Amino acid sequence: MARTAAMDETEAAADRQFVAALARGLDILDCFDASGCSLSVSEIAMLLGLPQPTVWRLCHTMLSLGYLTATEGGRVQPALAVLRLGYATLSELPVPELARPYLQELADRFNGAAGMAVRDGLDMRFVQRCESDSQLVLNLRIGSRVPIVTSAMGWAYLAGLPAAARIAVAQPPEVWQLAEPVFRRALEGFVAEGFIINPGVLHPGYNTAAVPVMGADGLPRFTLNCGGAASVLSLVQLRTDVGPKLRTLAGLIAAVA
Amino acid sequence: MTARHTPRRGAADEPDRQFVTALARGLDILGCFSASRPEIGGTQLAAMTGLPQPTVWRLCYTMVRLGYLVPVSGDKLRPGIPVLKLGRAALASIPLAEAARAPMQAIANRFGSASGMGARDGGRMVFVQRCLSEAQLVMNLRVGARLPLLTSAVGWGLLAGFDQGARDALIAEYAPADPRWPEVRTAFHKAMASYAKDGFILNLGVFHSGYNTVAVPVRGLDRRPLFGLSCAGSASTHSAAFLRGEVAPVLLATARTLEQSPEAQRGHTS
Repeated sequence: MARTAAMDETEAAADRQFVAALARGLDILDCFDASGCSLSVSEIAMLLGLPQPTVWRLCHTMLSLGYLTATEGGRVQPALAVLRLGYATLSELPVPELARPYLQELADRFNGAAGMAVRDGLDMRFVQRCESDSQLVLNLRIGSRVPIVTSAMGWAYLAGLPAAARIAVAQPPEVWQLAEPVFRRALEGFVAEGFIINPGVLHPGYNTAAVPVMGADGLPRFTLNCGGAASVLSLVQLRTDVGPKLRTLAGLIAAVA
Repeated sequence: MTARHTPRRGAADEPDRQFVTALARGLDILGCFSASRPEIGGTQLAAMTGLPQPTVWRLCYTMVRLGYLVPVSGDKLRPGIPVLKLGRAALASIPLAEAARAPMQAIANRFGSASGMGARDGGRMVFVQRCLSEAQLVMNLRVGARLPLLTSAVGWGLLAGFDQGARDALIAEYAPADPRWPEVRTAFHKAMASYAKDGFILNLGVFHSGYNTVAVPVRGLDRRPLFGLSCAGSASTHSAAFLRGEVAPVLLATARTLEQSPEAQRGHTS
């Protein structure tokens, strides 16, 4: 999906700082995937909903700079020079480091804390943690653990698991018994919206939204969260603002992790 | 990096009216980032590209909106996760890079080495595959990392595959921009002479003292050299005799296998 097209068109048009030619050129590169296929100018024009002459000029520019290469039948394909475009900067970063600027931005924007965790036994262990300047955040850091049964991180993990696999990690039973009804309601939200909200179950007065980052095997590899004190970060904000951003970030990470 | 993208001129010194300068400049900005320079501020990007600050600001703003750049602490920018997708699509257009992974990992494991495969992008070698053994002294190079064509072991491996005329033309083109070339040119010519005899290039501490490499070219269907394939390690474990007697025959056999693989028939785009 073209990134530019995903933006509000009128918003983009009205934004005089936005350089449309650059955006469209990047959209063209974004048309190619890891299958190694080539595309013709008319195919690209169709994919992006752009006029053919526009696509031709952008392709011509990238051909002459070596970012695209011509293949048989007048088709084009991304070339080696594309690896100049920041690829080596990120290609071998560990996933928690890849996610760091995004989590920091979430934490700052919502005056809370955001993080990334992996499952470790019956706990979720933080592998990344970013805090805003707000003083009302839970005292967690990289390496800290929270229980799967009561935390948003844990619930996101459970939500990503097949239902039959949940019981094995939703332990101990006496805690799960108390938490499960709230989890069930939160799970409905997850099914509808793709993120889960933990309303103060881990810590009273502290709300958190979380999402699983799914692996190629269909199981959750990581979980992401963003939360804050209820006085600063309301459930409404979590639902309308924070949750969708986490969902987008999870998709971004899942595609490359 | 300089501002190469003042409006382009065609063969007859006519401006190329089809050339989209804004796109070229934006891509130039993304090209400023590297593993050793992962975060750069706007002022510095302007200095690196030679573009006016307001232009840089608008181009960066556009790429931030699209996710190709992300703000990090201290008003700096870093490439965003979507650049990984672009790079993977580019690597996918080189089928041999993926085909080479298994044999290269086997070489790395067997000899306790770092094995790399590089393709030429102008005057640079770009690693399109890189396999390391565990717990060895290896150079920290990754897929996408770039080394100078004329002053890297993997570049010498590629250059060895050209005939004298084509090789001299590449040297003439890229030597002026490579400050290390004068100090290694004698070693280079010796290496090329021994390639004619051995079929591989040995690099004994030429670029990094205490670090030895053997490298060979990998050719395309038309017999033109397309890649340099290298295997390297610390001089203490990778002596000249070891590289010559043990590693080089395996590296050469791997190059032959790759040249005859189905992936090689699907071509390479460089």
